[in-house]
Amino acid sequence: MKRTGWRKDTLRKIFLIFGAVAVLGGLGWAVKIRVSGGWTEIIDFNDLQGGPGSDLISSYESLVDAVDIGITGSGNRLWQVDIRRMDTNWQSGFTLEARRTSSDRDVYGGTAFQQVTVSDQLFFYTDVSPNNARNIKVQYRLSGVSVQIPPGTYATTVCFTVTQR
Amino acid sequence: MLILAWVLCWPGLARAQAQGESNVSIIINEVAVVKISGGNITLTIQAPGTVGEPPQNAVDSTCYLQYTSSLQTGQSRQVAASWQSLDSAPGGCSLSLQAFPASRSGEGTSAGQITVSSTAQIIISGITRCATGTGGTDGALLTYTLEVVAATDLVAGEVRSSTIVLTVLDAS
Repeated sequence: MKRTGWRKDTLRKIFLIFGAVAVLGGLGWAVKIRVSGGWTEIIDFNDLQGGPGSDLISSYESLVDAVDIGITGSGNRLWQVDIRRMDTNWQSGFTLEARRTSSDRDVYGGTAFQQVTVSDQLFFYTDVSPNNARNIKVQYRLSGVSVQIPPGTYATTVCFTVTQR
Repeated sequence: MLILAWVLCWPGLARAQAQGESNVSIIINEVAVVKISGGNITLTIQAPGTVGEPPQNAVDSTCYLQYTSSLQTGQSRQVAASWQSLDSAPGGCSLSLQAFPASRSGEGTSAGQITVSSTAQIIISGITRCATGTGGTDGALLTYTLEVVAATDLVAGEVRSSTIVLTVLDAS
């Protein structure tokens, strides 16, 4: 009886130790994403297509490096970044697109403009030699602007979610 | 339970996730701009064809008022016309003006014919959000009529150059 109790106790300790190592290991390898920058576009009469009588230019692009993204802590794992938007005050007629403009080693996808919707969509990912990635640049494009849109401030938050694969 | 937690937490199986955010703001300002397509016009009072008849009025319908308007829902704009500064019609004459906006949405409606004076008078009302276009015949057609109101006050050979000011106003 004593011997059995000793075995159970030892077994429990071993599991606890391995569990702690696993949790700490997991935390240590938790991938992180840093996103900085954004885009503010002011549209006024200077953006008319051809002076009085013409409509506003319908499409606008941010700087190619409007957003800077860094991914760290991926450990030895592959990762992917999804993109979506969370609207604060947005126009249904607007189309927001994003693309990756930097040449990043071992990062794939996202180099062509793709629409940013309210649902997560794959933006870019790593496929080989997973490493930390720094200074991934992103450009935005907005279309759907016209004088039929009521004047005002329209805002949305673009969410970049990195997930270990 | 301990085994399950151990398995789920193991780095090789966990699916870690993190999120970062970036703000996008689009600010659209109000727009109210106008121009006249057609430029300057010349109106000439001709002698009557028949002795005893009054001189004939002169009419011009070659100019178009082109405008772009962007404003809040529920608001509207007007276009008003007046003589610039101390300008006026030639002696014995008055100048009338009527605008004929296209029937497209937001471009407003004609306020009828006015006699141009030093006081601004509305010629188009109900303009909301629109872009009339910039082609040669886009926008509101402007019809000017130089009328003889007192033949005895006409001065033969008088040439007068006057300017009419067209202003876009927010409707009160």
